[in-house]
Amino acid sequence: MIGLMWYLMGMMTIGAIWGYTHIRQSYAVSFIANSGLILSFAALWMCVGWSWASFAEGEPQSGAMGLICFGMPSIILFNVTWKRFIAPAKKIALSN
Amino acid sequence: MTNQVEPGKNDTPENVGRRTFFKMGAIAAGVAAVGTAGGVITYRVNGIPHDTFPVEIDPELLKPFDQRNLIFSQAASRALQQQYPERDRLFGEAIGEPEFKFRDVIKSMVRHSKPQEQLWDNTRLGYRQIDWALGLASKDSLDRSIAPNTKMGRPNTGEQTWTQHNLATEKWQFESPEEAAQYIKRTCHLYGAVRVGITRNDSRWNYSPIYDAIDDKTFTWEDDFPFAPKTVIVLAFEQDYEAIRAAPTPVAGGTVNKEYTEMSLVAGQVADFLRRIGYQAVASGNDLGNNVAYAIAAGLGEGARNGTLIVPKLGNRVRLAKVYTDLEFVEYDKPRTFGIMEFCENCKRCAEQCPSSAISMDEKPTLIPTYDGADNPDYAWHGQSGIKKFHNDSKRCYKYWGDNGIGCAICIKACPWNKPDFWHHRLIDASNTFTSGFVHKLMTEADILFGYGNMDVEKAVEKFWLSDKEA
Repeated sequence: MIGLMWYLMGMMTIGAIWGYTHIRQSYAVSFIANSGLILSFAALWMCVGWSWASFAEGEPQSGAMGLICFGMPSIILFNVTWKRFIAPAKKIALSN
Repeated sequence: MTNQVEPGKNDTPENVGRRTFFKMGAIAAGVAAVGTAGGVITYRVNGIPHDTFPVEIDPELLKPFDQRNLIFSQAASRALQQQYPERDRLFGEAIGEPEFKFRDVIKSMVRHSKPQEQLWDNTRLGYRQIDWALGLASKDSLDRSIAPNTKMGRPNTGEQTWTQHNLATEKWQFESPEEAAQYIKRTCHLYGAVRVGITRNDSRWNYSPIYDAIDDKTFTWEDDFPFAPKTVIVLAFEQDYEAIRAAPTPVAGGTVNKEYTEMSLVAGQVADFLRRIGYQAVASGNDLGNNVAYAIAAGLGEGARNGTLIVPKLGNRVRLAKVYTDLEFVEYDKPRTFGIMEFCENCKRCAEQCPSSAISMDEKPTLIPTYDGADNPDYAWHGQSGIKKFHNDSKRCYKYWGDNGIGCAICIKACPWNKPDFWHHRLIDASNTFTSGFVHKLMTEADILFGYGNMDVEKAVEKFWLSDKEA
């Protein structure tokens, strides 16, 4: 159960790195945007790890608190980062 | 849009070399900072080593403990009850039960240890016939043969015999003290201990005189013990998490008794192993000396507010045994501190949950007891003064065991350090070693908020029986 969690979190990390490089190709990512992305990913990572482990050990209340305390800030932070610092900085390809 | 950029134009830095230099510098500084922080955290999590006993001691106050002042001795010995009737009387008056006698606790526990229908409550989870069976069957072999009355501190019993049988005439010569420690620890782990520490024999932590409450006999280390011990091997045994969560029911008693049985057996096996390689050895449970002090000296953990030992990763969900030996050519472990006592100063969870108010609510540990009546030697006759700790009124704790019929363990259940081995608990443990004050209080509250502080007994009992240990 916990082995599967680490495997999926590893996959999630690889997916996040792939997504980040994709974003870098299309957007000018500022220092603030980088910080926002890193923090929101860290919170998401904690959310999945904490909640999964809590459900695995049979403490659903801790799992739910993990979703609230780490998952919600992660979503909010990612949204704010995206809307305020990444989306407005889209690179425009110059055409003839 | 004004902040849109064109690739290859507006984002071209004016001074690439300088910018790259600063970037690389920032990354290097970041890596160095993370590395340093990691090193500091690892150092704290693994425990800060000390050359001396890591708890403040007043040598004027600290004296070897007379085992006749152990509560178990008072409860088990008719001679002591006749010699010190005021011990029963003063405590009885303090709790508003003038007829109380410490012996009644033993009577209650013996009564509950036999299968009797009138003692079961099959409508109450945790106290049903099957729960009592679970709690008691795990100690029957201990009481019958492995080490009868060892739980009460009786010396020289069963596997904890002082007889040096199987003592080889040839001594096995270890190549180095490190090798000796490695071989001994590997043996202990094979036999069933989860933690092993090796420390020097220390007269401060040995009972003197040693007392057999059943036969009303005293023994001295010099005249009666079979050899002059040089080394004490301390063994820790883990109690089942789900079972402890069911405290104070017999379900929790099941794991407590199971570990008492196992530790007596394993300590006996380790003593036999040492004798077979030519060194004299005696196994010990609650007899001969202070387990918690020896475990601290052997670097296994730190003392906690509730008087138990907190072992990193296991919390205070452990039972302790020890083996005295004359083997001296061995590497000794250093005592270590993990920031646990500092956490205990800020967390009073065990004291708040204690059903008998036995645990100190003091803000700071002290050298002498501070509970009500502690200034009267006829009331505060137990415990060891002169060591800075939280001095608890263990008489109240023991009284509750009798009321409950099978011990308690609520303080172990309530402790925020008592967690199963999952990574997120290790993360919190690590943070607790270098944070302090307000953060510790916050962690205690978070522990409750996250559901770990749930003291619901019936839910815990149900969860114990349904938990799948093979998953």
